[in-house]
Amino acid sequence: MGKLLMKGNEVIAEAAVHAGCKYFFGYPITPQSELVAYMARRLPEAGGLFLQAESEIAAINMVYGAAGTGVRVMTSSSSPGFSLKQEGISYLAGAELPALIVNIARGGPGLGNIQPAQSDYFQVTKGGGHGDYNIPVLAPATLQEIIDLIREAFEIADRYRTPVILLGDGMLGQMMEAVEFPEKPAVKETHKEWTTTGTRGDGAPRVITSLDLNAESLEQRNEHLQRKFASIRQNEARFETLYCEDADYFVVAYGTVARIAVNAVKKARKDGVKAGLIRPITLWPFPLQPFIDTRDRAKGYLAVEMSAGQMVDDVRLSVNGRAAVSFFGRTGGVVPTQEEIYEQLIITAGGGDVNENGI
Amino acid sequence: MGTSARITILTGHYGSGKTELAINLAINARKNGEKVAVCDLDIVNPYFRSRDASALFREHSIKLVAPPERLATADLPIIPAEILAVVKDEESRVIIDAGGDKEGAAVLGQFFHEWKDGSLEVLFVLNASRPYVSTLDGALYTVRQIEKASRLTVTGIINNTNLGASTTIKDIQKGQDLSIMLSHKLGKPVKYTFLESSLRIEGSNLEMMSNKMMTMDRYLKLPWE
Amino acid sequence: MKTVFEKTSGLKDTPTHYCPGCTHGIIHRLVAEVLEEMDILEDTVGVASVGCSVLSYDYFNCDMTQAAHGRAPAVATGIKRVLPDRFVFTYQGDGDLASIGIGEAIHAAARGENITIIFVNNAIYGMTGGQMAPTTLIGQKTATSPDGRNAALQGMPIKVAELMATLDGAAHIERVSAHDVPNIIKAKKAIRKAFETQKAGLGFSLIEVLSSCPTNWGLSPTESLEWIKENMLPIFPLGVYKNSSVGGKA
Repeated sequence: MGKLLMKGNEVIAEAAVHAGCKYFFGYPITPQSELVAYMARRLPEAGGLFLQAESEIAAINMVYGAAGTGVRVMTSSSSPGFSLKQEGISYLAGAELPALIVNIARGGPGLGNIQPAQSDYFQVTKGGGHGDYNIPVLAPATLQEIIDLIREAFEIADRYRTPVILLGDGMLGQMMEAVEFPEKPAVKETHKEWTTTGTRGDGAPRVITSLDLNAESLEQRNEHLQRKFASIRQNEARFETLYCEDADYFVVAYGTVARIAVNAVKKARKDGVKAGLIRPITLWPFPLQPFIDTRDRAKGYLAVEMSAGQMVDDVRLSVNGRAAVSFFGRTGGVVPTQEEIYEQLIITAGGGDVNENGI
Repeated sequence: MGTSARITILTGHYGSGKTELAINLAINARKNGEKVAVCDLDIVNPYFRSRDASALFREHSIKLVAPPERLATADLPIIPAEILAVVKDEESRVIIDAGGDKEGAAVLGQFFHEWKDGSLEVLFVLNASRPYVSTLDGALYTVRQIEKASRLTVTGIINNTNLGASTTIKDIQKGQDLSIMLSHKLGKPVKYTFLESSLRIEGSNLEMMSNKMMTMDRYLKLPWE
Repeated sequence: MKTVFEKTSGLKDTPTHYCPGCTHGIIHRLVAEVLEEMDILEDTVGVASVGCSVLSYDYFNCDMTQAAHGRAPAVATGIKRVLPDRFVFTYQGDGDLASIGIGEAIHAAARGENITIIFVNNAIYGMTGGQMAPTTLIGQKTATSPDGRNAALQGMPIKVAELMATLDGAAHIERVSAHDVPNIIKAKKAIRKAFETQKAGLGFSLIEVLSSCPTNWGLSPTESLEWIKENMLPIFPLGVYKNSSVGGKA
């Protein structure tokens, strides 16, 4: 279909349609409303169904119902609305239902504002709802990358019977870039024998539930989930590195912030500081490999986020005390500039750590 | 600009580049010594609106009619009452940056009685690289929807076809072809074809393609640009 | 020997956990018999809710999904929208539907979702230990209204059938009771009508069934049935609140 100039939110929607998603249950919230509007127009064209729910809570539970029938289904929201979905996400994780949930994050806490933020990192990567669970989280940095990651998100969801989150910030949702969709959407559908669609001569009735009244039995169920999470950790971590082969100092950033950081890293290189960039593409599982590869020779890591310091915890765990880790962040919808990141990088390289406490 | 209309309303599919055009048209008019006001009526987009260029407007002494700064990024569909004063000011060129599609155009409907007698042009900004307006049917449908919602008739087309940094001469040509087809359907002229000034596009036949080729600067940039 | 009564194939062999005298078991059976008689067990997906009937998926002999507290109508919506030719029902209590899930129930009705809700109203939270429900009667003592429900403090009971009947999307709304045999027979007819309404694609149906809770009411099974008659019927009048045009008498 050639190249198109599209908004991030539209790309997410179109990419989902390309990945075989035919059902969308949503609720409007800025800055992801274009996604909902696009789906309302696009899904009927694609032979699917769009339904505006009465709340984010209803939307995620509609997703739960639809996911139980085995179809590819999704919902999307932004931070405050995403919080409302947490109960449903915990149930999806507990009942092992595949679905895609998009969070185009904005400034918080509370109602916050509609500017871009990355302050939902803890919420999406550490479970978010109640119970022992994790959810794969994909964090694209470009609109083209969204197309690949949405397809992978649905594949991961089906393969592991798990909900998957795509996390972007408002900037990613609102910005426009040229993108190209693959000509023939390659949809790998998995046969699902666990669905509740009416038995129709297909054996005994099936049940989808996260309830397990017996402690030993629920523990076994949890152990099963943990084995699954271990397998996801092992197989699904994704990242990208830039100039890391010979770098002394590493900026760690994801999503749109990584794109700003690239310029700071390049400028530092020009000024003789051997800087590199590690960009986690999956936030859970957090990619350990680039840190294992660099932490014994690194002189320092600088985590940059649009938050008060959340991913930096995972950086510290990954570096495991073998090098200094510092942090630079802006919050409330303020986007860090290339110059600010460069300055922090130079301070890091100079041995200074102005943000020891992450403030 | 060589336009006779005092008030220019920019409509189009959302993401077609209305805001950048509003900024460019305003700065050009200022350079001609005109008194200029830009009205940001975009209640659809939460980011990348005329109000985000407020410093630039101040610098060029262009009046910006937009929600007050403390509410500029509020998630509220605020239409400043001041727009009426600007629209009635016979001395002032007025450029109205409406939001995209019929949703954005509907905002214009409330001013129906204010400008029905005025000197007005309603321009449909076309970026043929955007989904839903890349075909004649799609573009025509969008125009009709906008006209219905705004209670206005489109009087001209601006070809602003681009793919951002990846724009090629083929894209602009494609947009030009579609603009001309749309122009025939509507019976309204293609007023300009815009080309971003920073693009280094090969091809000397650009001028031949349109004698109304204008270059524009891009002001609303992403933090890594 | 001639068989005059047997277990319906709509229920599994699993013994239910319901207390002696609780009418949940009867209501389960009525739903199951209707599914069997309409020959739609294999085409049905039920949605269990949170409350005493949380384990209903162990009893209904059809595909079942367990929903979060109050969210069953949303879950049913998701299933039905993907599989419009299947029968989808939820089985919810008064805490689940009328308190935490009133929003989901109202909007499913407003959308005219072509699903059936079996709403079991026993005027108390059974599962969590006898707390006040949105349908608890004025003066009724519960764990959280120890001096009796006081309108000034805790408001008035919600009349779900009446409320739902105000919504244009609702096709069939009826309140029945399980307190004696004639009413149980009527209840089954109402449930059948609800599923027939769904079969005809007419939209949302809800059958409110007045039910007993001997354990939390502190009454014997017979006293409980009497209590429904004496106390609940005057506040929750039985009848058809919205009648779908589907064949048969309501």
